[in-house]
Amino acid sequence: MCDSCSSFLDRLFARGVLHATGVDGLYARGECFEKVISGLDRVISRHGAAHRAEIIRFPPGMSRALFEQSGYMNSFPQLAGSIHGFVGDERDHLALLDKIHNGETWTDRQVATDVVLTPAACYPLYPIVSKRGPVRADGLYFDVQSYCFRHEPSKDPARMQMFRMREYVCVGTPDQVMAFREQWLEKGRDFARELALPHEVNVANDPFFGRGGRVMASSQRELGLKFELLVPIESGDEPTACVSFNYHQDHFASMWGIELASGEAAHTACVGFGMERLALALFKHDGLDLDAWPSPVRAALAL
Amino acid sequence: MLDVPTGDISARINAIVRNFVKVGAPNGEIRPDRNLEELGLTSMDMVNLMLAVEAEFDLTIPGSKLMPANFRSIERVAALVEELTR
Repeated sequence: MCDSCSSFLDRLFARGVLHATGVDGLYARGECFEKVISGLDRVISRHGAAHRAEIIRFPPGMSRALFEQSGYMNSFPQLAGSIHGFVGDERDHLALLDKIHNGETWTDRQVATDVVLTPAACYPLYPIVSKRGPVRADGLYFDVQSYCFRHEPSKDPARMQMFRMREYVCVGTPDQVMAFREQWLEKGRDFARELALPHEVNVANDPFFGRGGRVMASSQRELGLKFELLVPIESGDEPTACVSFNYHQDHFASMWGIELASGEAAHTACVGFGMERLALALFKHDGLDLDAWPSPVRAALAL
Repeated sequence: MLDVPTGDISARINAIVRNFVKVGAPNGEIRPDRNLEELGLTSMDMVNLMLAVEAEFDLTIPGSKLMPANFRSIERVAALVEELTR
């Protein structure tokens, strides 16, 4: 396949790095892609080792009740995904099969289960932390990962609907979490340099929904709550956010009742690594043949 | 267009804002120049304040005006409403 007349996504499919599933943004991963993901995991773990963070790995679904409590639907209803299932008797089952056979809509009778798709790796963490009582004086550090879902089908391979997010999360005093985020802004740059990825770090905002979302986004940028490490993947003019550095103030802690020993709400911050985006950035810049990648990059990833 | 006396606008906004501020739980008037974020107004509260102001004055705030600076104090919100109802 000619590099100049096919898209990056087509080339990824042609080389078996990714496999199409028939849905934009939903892809199977090939062996070489997973090798890179494993390598990235090791590099991230090395950069985060000093935190001695508690490791928690989440399934791709979380409790619908906790999700509702999290306020995600206030800000990002357009990105959320819920899991529905069949509930009925044999007559309902036959009707369901008829509808599928006839190409009719069969999902309208599905019923919401107690599970929704996890929107971000740290969302299921806060309810767990809240049950542990006051935050200890030196703060809490977590290393979490989850497959996440965002309903935004796209031909841009870096905008997947289901992808892995690895995060380090700090819970503590405002000074502790700000220091955590400042450290990671520097470590993030070191991380990108180690992988020889062209990058820049800029202030950013989340994709808040609707007209009100413009106020939220402006406020987030004004307060410098979110920064992103951007790497050109599909476009040089609009590089892709591959790592984000987020200061939540007391948003999550107040919501979940996570308190310091003083009784004040804790503050939280996280650094989130978009694993698929980072892997794609490497394939974009170093090519689709892992054996031909620069030696320092291969060494860093232990390929 | 609405023709609402300026004092009226401020008083009506004051009544709306009292539903959103958390710190100090003011039952009385809030000074028009008081920074509402210092009274616990979050960015999500600002969105709800925006929607409440639109409903109260039956107007749609254009996208170019949807910035936190326009919702940080009662006098800023009142100035915005006056501009849009002029």
